[in-house]
Amino acid sequence: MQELDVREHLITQAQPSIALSVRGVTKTFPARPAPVAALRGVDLTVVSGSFTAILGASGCGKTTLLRLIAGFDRPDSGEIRLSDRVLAAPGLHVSPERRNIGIVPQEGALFPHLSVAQNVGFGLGSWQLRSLSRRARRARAERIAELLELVGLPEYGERRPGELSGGQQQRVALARALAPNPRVVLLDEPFSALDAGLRAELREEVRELLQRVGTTAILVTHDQEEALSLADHVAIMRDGLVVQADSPQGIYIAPGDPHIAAFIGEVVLLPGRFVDNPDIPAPCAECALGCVAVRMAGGSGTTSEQCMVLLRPEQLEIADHGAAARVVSTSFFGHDGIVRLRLGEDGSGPPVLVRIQGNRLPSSGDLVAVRIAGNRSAGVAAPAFSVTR
Amino acid sequence: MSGPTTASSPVGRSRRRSQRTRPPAALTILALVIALLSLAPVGYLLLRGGLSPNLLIHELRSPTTGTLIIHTITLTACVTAVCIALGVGLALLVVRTDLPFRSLWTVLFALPLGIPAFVTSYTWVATGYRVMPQSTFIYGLRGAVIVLSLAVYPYVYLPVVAALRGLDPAHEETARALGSNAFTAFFRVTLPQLRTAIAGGSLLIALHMMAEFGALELLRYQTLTTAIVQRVTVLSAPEAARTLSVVLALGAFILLGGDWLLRGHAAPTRTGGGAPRPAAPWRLGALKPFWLLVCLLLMALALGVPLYSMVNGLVNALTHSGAPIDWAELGAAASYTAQTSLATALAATLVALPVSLLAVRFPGWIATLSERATWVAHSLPGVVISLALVYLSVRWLYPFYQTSALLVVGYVILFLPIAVGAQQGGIVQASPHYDNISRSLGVGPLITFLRVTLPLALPSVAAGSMLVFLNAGKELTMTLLLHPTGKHTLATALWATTNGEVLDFSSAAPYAITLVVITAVPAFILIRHTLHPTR
Repeated sequence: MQELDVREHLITQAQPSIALSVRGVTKTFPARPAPVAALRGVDLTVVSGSFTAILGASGCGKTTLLRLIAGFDRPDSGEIRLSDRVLAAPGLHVSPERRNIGIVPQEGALFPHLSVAQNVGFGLGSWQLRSLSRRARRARAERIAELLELVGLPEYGERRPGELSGGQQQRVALARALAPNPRVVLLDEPFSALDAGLRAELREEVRELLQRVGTTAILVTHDQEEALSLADHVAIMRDGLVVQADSPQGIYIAPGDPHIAAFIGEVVLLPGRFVDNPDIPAPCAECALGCVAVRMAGGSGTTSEQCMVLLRPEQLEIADHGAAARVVSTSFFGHDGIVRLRLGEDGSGPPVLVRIQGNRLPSSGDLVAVRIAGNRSAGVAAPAFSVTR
Repeated sequence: MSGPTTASSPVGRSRRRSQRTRPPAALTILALVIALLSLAPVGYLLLRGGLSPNLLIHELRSPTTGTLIIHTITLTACVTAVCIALGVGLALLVVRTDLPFRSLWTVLFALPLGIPAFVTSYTWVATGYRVMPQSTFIYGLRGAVIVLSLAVYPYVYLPVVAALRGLDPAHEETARALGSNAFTAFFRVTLPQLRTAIAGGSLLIALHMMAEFGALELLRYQTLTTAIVQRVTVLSAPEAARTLSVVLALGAFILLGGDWLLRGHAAPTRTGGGAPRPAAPWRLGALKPFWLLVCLLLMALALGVPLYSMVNGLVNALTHSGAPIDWAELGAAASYTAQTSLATALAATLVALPVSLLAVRFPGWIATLSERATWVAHSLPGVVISLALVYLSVRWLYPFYQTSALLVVGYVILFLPIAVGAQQGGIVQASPHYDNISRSLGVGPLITFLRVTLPLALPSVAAGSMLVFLNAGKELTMTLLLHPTGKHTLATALWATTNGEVLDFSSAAPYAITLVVITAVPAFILIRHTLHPTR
């Protein structure tokens, strides 16, 4: 995995085609009792043609950032560039209509007074004088038909937005945003209002479609599964800052801190301390589940220094022998299940989660043995964090 | 309705924040100018009247003034109370019970809105004279309260029907589940949620009562307004009229302030999502025939009497048993009414747009100031504004004195807030959210306003124009004071046939019917708009 990261890094080095860059952007809203600092110096780089997700809990500032990129609000300081063109900087503000950045809002927000075709054609300059010619009108109609075809709704041009389902409205909203050939398209939690089945289906479709068109896309979402599965680059936001930006795999495997780790998936955090183990070449730490190869995410790695070892539930298994643990509760998800344990025969040790196949869930109160799955010296490489946080 | 879903979308979520951006300078200046202009006549009058305290004290000390003030207060309180009872009661009857033919009654109960109050009073007086020539039953406070309540209760009834229909029955059901019976649940949960609707309608009625002239003159009940008009037109005592106007204006201010205090913070009527479902109706049971009879009787009084008088008068006029119809004068009056009302509707719509836009999109002290300024002018009786305009034009704008333009200006000042109120609802629906998307698609601010904001707000803007047209068409008091000599609207032509002595409705009937036809169309559209709100 690490090797793969490096290779990706080299590729971007070779072709540093940056579609959008955000540098040191801050934004504070006047509020009572105290002003709210929504963005506190955000840096973000979006590579041309990439699908970048901005992931964060509600209130982290991701929507504010999106509005600043679209030009609906002005940053207090910092700079936003679209490749080499400055969009926003101190004393400079390019209005939204001159940015060539499309947006797909949550719920689609189609203009309710216009038909589907009129919605898609809205940004195609129908109110400009030169578009009155027959040729321009035909070109416009063709472009609308082409886009409706692209989103799989070729027969829907004359419908009213109210007559479409939620998923169809989203597709039309995407077609509308893509119509003027934007340099970047912003997706503002576009799937969150849909039900689970439709959401998964539409996500795949949108990703494939954006790849085909080759448009740079930025997705804002609070859904970690959505961000990890869709994007090829993820920026995690917290308290008005981008705290980590990496590939989805990179973030999952090497989260910057335990909070990020917990935000993007289930975690098992065990106290440990660094040890020298002649069997394992990499630095390793001793914890309740034995000795694990670790990668440093904090601390110096000095032998016998205290640390926190981060494991994922799927890296653990219930086996015939290992550390004794009591089952506290289980959750069944169909494809798999999560077993909540506490280490120790009396169940007084630290809590541990194990992901196992759903048809073999133990019962609460059972005494089981838990261990790290696979080759603990090479396959795990768990992040180890400094305890002095 | 954009629905509960769009309201929570992120582009819209930050709406309150983005509204903090400063409004375009042109819009601000325009709104301030409009505010200043609508305050100018009133300001002038108050300053002039208020600056002669001796005259004010003298007038207040005279025994007639005291009686007039008491009369005005009594009438306003009585009619408002009766209308609240009548309006809320009828609304409950058609929305919440299993009354037969509910949808028919729903529309019928709203129809008195289409007949001006002074026409209703005229028909009552004419009918009373024909049926019982010696009786004075319908004169004085009693008659005024009965007749005027029957004429104006729809101002409470309509908003309460709309509010009742929009309520979430879950609230009342939850109260029932918590142990309240049907009546306590209604009084503790439902009625408080109707407060805004009732307060709005009552304020309109109370202001109307303070300003009413024609009906009270016919029903022989003296209030401040009738006294002011009398002092101007008959007694030629403009100083006294102005002083009384100041007293009346102060009363209107007190009413407006009281309303703001009473109304408090309007609570959201629906908190949950999903489509509103009708609450289970209350069963009338064995009392059903009784309630049907009540409804029939009420409609016979509120609609039957006026319509019967009009038709009967028209038949008399056509069969030459009464005075013959002067078709030319009728035509001239009708066309003059249509012209001035249309001009007023257009002008008020245009003037109201900046005020509504500012109030919805850029709330702040400037927006509040300009919106309240239009309301201040509206809360003053038409007679006060007319007097102010007469003085202003005689003093500084003499060429405007006695022109239709001045009349239209008066109408616009009087009815501006009606247009503003109607437009705001539409502009709220045309959320800035849509503007943002339009801008991101490469469309500039002005074209965005034309392509997105205006079309979305258009139904409400049109409804506002209709309302202004309706109100201008049936306006009597201001028209009497401001209309150019020789020009008559239907209202003043109709009024001229009373001649102070009402004997017969025949000569009035053609004007009354034409007036009702003109005002009934927008009234009906308004009723439909309130009862069947579309998106």
